This record gives sequence, structure tokens and C-alpha cells, in this order.
Amino acid sequence: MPIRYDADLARFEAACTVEDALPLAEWLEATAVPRVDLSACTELHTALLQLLMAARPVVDAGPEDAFLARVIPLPPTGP
Amino acid sequence: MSGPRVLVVDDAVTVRAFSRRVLEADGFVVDEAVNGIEGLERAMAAPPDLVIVDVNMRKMDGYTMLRVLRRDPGLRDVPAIMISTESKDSDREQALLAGANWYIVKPPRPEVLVEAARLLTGRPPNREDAP
Amino acid sequence: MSELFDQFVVEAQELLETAGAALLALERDPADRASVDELFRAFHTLKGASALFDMAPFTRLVHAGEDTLSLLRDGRRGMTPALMTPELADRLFRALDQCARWVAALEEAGALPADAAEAAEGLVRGLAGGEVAAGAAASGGEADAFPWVAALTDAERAAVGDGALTAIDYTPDPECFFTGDDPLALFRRVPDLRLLRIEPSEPLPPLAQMDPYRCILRFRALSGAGMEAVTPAFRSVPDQVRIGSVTLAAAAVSPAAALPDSLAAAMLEEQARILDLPGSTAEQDSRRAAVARAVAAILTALGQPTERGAVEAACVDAGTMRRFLADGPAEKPATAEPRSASAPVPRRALRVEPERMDALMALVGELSVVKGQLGPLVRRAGNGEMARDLKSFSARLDSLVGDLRHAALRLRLLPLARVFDPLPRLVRDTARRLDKNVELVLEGAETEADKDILDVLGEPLLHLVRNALDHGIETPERRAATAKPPAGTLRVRAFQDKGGVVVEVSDDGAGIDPAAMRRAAVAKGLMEPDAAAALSDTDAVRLVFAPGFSTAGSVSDLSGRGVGMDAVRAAVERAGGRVEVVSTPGSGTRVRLSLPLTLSITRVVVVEAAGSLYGIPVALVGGVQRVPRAEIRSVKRAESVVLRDRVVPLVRLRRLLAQPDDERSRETVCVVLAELGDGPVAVAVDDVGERADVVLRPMTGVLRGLRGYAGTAVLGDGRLILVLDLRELL
Repeated sequence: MPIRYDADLARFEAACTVEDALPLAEWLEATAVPRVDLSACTELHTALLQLLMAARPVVDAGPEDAFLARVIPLPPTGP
Repeated sequence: MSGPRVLVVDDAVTVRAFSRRVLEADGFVVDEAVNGIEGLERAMAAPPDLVIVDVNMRKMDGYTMLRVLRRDPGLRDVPAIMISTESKDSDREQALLAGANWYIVKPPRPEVLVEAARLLTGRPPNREDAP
Repeated sequence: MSELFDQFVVEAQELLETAGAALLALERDPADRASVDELFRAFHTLKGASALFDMAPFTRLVHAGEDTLSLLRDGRRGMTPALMTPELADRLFRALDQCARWVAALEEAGALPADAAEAAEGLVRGLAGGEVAAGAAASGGEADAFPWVAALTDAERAAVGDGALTAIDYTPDPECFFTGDDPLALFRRVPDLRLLRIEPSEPLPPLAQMDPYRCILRFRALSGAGMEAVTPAFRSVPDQVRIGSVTLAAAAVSPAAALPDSLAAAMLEEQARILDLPGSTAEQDSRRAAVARAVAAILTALGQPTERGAVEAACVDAGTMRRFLADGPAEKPATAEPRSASAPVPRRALRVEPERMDALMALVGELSVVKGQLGPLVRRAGNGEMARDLKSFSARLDSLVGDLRHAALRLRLLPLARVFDPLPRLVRDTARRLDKNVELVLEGAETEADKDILDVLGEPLLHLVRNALDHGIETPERRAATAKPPAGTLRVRAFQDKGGVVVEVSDDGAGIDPAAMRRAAVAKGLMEPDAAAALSDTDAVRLVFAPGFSTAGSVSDLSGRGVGMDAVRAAVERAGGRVEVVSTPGSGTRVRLSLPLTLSITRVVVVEAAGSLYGIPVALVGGVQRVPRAEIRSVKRAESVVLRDRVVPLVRLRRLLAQPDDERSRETVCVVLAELGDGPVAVAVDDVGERADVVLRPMTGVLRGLRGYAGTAVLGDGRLILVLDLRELL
């Protein structure tokens, strides 16, 4: 699974695809204060991006992928 | 002796005030008009050394004003800068067609406005200039 | 920059008002081209002016408004322009309202509130939603404008760089995920991507309602590569993307790139290019003249003054000019020294701080009062030669002080347009909410009154208008049933009247039924049935102003006026004015507010009670007369007197002020007829003195808690009086 859920933290790893959209939506909805770690994410599907934009989770770590780091409108909000 | 005269034609008082401020600070003498008609009247009453014209204005827009200016025997060679919020090539082209010598996208940065005004009125670029 | 900033605030306020008025006009007549232009220009000018300051959300919002309006103005290519709809008007009004709040914040705090970016985002999305709807039919892949490019933030501009860029505007099909598209991934294939803005294309719904398989994002990007290099990345979605080339001009480049030399080079190249532009012979000739002068000036500026003739000779075409410039002009002394013309002084309005104006007004007031002290002196001087001189001197001083007062007053006069301005919008919104058709007619907006009076007038006027819409003007169905035109007419009219200003609010609605008013007064326990029955129709209608009368909802059900008429009366009377109402059941109501021209100087009737002097504002005084004691009737403890064929309740000022009754027995009683909103009252006083202009000072210190006094004032002879607030006293 490209997204690993660990209680209130979701780790995005490698290429995260549209398949992950539904589980991500359910997890975001069910989690009181969701946190995400995008550091290992190499591809982020638009469907996932818009869920993150709507849910505004705490971003523990931004993506290390140069393209994603530059373009996605999710500034790290983590500690 | 007073500096070169610049006629600023813009319907926005804030933009006029901005231009006046940066140009006067650099030793220009600034006159203002709020639309093309008033701009032409001012220019005819006292030919400026440079006109800076907005595009979109009530009564007479900047294009029309420049076209008329270029037909007037006494004013046809007055250098003109057109200033507009549009950054498209086609807008720039239209400005030049109407008779502008230069085109600046709003909001102008003060130093860009001043340098362009200096060049078109024959004043050396800033640094070396001691008033 | 603060002066410039202040100027922006003032200009923005004016532009927002202009825009509001134009939008109202446009909603009324969607084909009104002049209003579209006006509205567009207002947004456009706001965009340009706001961009001078650090207020990106403001600029962004007005820019979005401008984009929307350009669709109304020009339409998409090959399409007829979109028309104004009430929904679109709502969205634009919301944007204008937001801007107005921001301008207020700018004036107050000098900066936009912290949530401005977010607020702008929501409104921009709203406007863009309208845009999509309006332009959907025209999505023919036409390379249209990319207006957002001009509104990049400073940071974005710095990141983007300058020169020729390719702009990409990509709104994916909402269903695109099902066909395997990943819009974001497409941008990985865009060469030299300088900027990617990812925005929701519609408001993001709460997560619970979000369909994870529906794409609701929109992408806007700039690339440094050419169109031909960018286009292949979007080959699979040609119907959802617009790609075009744009040029970011000098304003967008970093400071380092704006060095004079490169600017000069760019300008010289531009002059060459101008020579090749198409046009008639006359046009080309005049362009040549302008280019020659510009090139000569630039060369002079660069320290390479060149003979004008040589420059002119090079003004043939771009090639010749470029060669001429490349070969380097011969070094010759400058000839074209800028002309030294005498600078004409532009006419500029003088703006004066309100506090200074108030201070001036207070001084003028004091001066009038001091001048008043001269009168008694002159009288004491007798008839000698010196007395004659003194008299003529006093007369001259009189007229000068009068002129000065007049001039100072005029400084503060403003047109009533200021209080009329919010009305069209209020009427529009309220009528829309109530599903009524209302034609608003404003007359006399140019009538002038003191700034303080305008401040007093504003709220009551809104109240009256709201009431007329709520309770006066009927629904279209009801109007049709009574053979009235479906649209009601609300007329607000202002005019000057003997030393004061009058504003009338009249409607052709249901009117106020005096019988219903009498019943309501009794039902509410405000009046005995006998007393109510004895009321004339006129007085019964005036009950709408009675305290406690109009606060219950039931009144509006009686087709009377709703809540708060009492407050209207209170505000107007506090300012020394008065309120009257005339109503004809079935055909309408007219409320008239009469206010003095200024608050700074109040004309009072001086009265005496228990050895002290008091002032009653002249505006409230309907007459002064002596009444034979025998004509005062008393029922139980309540006294009344017949004045001008009306039974008027009589109150004794001594009792109101908790002073002992007058021991002296008199044949006649001095009575001041006070015209209060809910009917006249006869106020018995010990004596009535002169009328005097006084400067009213609000009660301060311990006196402030006292009820029933409007303030203190000093008479011409130096004596202090208390000016009564009769309404509160009674």
C-alpha cells in the first residue's frame, strides 16, 4: 500500500494513485486531527491532492520529490 | 531651472499621485489629467516633454488620446509611455500602434517608471546624475 | 507612502460607490452598456490602484470581478455577451461589500485583516463559478486572455522571471479520473515550469460530502518554454486546456534585470520595431517623428548625444534604425535640452481634517456668543456720540460675524447624496427578499446640510425606507387586487426649508389606518378607550411615534409601521429636528423629517422656571402664549388646555424639574407649545425670554448622568442655561 495508516498519521510512500482516494477520504473523515507525512511520496494523484486540500491535515513532513515540493499548495504545518 | 515636464493621464487618483510622487522625487515637473480629453487640453496648453497615459479612461481612452496627439503638429513627436494592467503582447502592440513609444504594465515599479521617463526625456540614468 | 495610501482609501471608497450604483442600474436594465462599462472601469481602476500597495487579496478579488465583467462587456469571441442575472449581481455585490469592509479596515488599521486571503478566495471562486457558467458554451479552445498573469503576487513574479512565457489554463473535466487522467501528473511533463497554481474550481465541500472521484481542481501555470514545447504535455486533454503566450513586461522582472542599460537597449529596440508597424502614411510619419525624438532622447540620456537630423534619417524602417544604432552614432554635442516651461499649478481640492473643521466651528460659535454680549453693552451706553459709534461698530461686527458663520457653515456642508447613496442598494436587497417590486425615486440629493446633520440623518432614513418596504408597500398580488400598478413607488425627497433641511419618505402603499391605531393603543394599555376615540385621525396616525407603541409585532399586522419609529423620532429630535407623518389608508404614507442646518449652533427659546434659566430648542416650539388661568382644565391630576382648537396636555416645567410650584397667583400662565412627534404638549413656565443662538455643549462630568438635558450653553450676557431635552423629560 502506498499509503500506510498509523492511527492519526498517514505515511505517503512512492507513487500514490487514485486507488488510494476512497480509503484516504474515509480515514481523513474518521480521524480527529489527521497528520500526514509526504516525505517519501514520489507521485501524488490529483484525487489525493484535492482531498488533502479540503481536509487540511497537519503536514508533518512535506514531499522530498522536487516537483511535488514545488507545486503542491500544502505548506508543512507540523511541529 | 525646473526639470522635464511629464503629463500623467490616468483616471485613478491613486495612480496619478503615485506617479507624481516618484517622478517629482526625481526632479520631474508633473502635470495631471483624468482622461484623454483633459490630457490633450493640458498638452496643448503646455506641451510636455513626456506623456504617461493610462488605457482605460472615461470620456476618451488612452489609445484615442495618443492617436490625436500624434496628429497634432505641435505634439506629434512628444514621447509617450502607455501604462496598463494588461500584460498581453496584443495590448502592447495596440499601444504602439496608437502611438506609444513604450509600454509599462501596472503597477509600475517606481525605479522602472523613473528610468523610462529619464531615458525618454534625455536625462542620464540615475546614479551618475547629480541634480 | 501614507499620503498616497490615504488617497487610495478615498478613491477606493468612491469607486466602490460608483460600482454599486452601476451594478444596481445594470441589474435593472441588463442591456445598459454604459453601466457595464462604468462597472468594468471601476473594477479595473481598483485593480490598478490597489496593486500599488501590498494587498494581494484585494487586487485578486477586484481582478476576478473585472474578469467576470469583461464577459458581460465583450462576451467570448463569437458569442453574444452574457447578461446580468440577479445571482451574478449578488456575487458582485458580495465582492463589493467585501472590498468596502477591507477599505474600512485599511483606513482603520492600515492593513487588510488576517483572513483577507481566505475571504478573497471564497469570493473569487464564487465569481469564477459564474464565469464558467457564462462561458461554458464558448469553450472552443480559443487562445484567450490569461488575466491572472497580470495579478501574480510579488513572490510569484520573482519566481517566474520575465520575458515571453507560455501560460496554461487547465480546468480538468470533473469526470476525468474515470478516464485515467491525473491532471497534476501532466505538469511534470511541462518543460521549464516556472509557476503552478492549483486552485479549487468550485468551493471545496466539507469532506463528508466530497466525491473523491470527482475532480474539482483547476490548474494555472507558466512555463519559460515556447507554446510548441508545452502543448504536447496536454495532447490528451485539448478540450480542457487553454495555452497561449504571454509577455511579462519590465514591471515583473527582478530589480537586477531592470538596469538602465538593458532598459535603454530594450527601448531602442522597441523604437526600431515601431517603425515597421502598419498604418496609414500619416500615422507612420507621426510615429517616425515620435521615434526620432525618443531615440534622440535615449541617446542623450546614455551620454551619446546625436544630431537630430542623423536620427531622423535613420527613421526609415526597423532595419535602418538597428544598423544606425549598432554602428554607434557620431559623438556630437547635445542639442535637445529639455524645455523649461513654467509649471502650471494644478487645481487640487483641499482636504481638511474634520477635527479642525469642528474646532473652527466651535470658535465661530463662541464668537457669535461673545458678539451677542455687545448688544446689552450698547444699550447701556445710552445715546451719546460714543454710543452711536458703538452702535454702528456693533452693526458692522454683527454682519461680519454673520458672514463668517455662514462661510464656516458652508465649509461643513455636504450634499445629501451621502445619505442617499446606500438607499438604492438597500431597496434592491430588501425588495428582492420580500418579493416586492419597488421603484425608488430619489430627489434633491444635491441638497446640502451640515456633516453632523447628515450623520444624524443616516440611520433614521434607512429605518424609514426599510419600514416603507416592509409594511407600506404591498406585495404585487395585493397591489393588483387594488388596481395599483404592480411596482410600488418609494420616493425620498430632500429640500432646503427656512434655515433647515427637510427629507420626506413617501410610499404609495397601504397607508396607516387610524382606526386600527386607536384599537392598538387601547389594546396595549397606552390609552383609555375614551381618549383614543377622541383622537383626531391625524393624531391617531402619529401614535406610530409613541414610545412603546411600535415595539410589538402586532402593529405591522395592522398595516401600520413596524419597529423603531420611536427611535427615528428620538434621533431626529435629539438633533433639534422634528418628525411628522401623514397617511391615507389605501394610498400611502409620507414621513417628513425636518432638521436644522447645523448642530453646532442651536437656536433656543429661553424660559425661566423657579429662578433658573432653561433653553428649549426652537425647532420644537410651535408657539408661545399666555393662557388665562381659568382655561386650564384639570381632570384628576392631569391638566389640559385648548390651544388652536386642539386639546393639549399641559405640564408644568417646575414639576418636571421637581421644583416647588409657583406660589404667586397669576391671572395668566406662560405656555410654550412644544411639538413633539406624538403630539403637542403645552409646557407651563414662569416666564419666556429671548430667542438666542447658542453653542450647545454636551453635559460632562457628574452632570452627564442627568436625564432630560441636551446640554449646557452660555447666553450672550454670559449667563449659563441648561438646554432641555423635553422628550426625555416628559
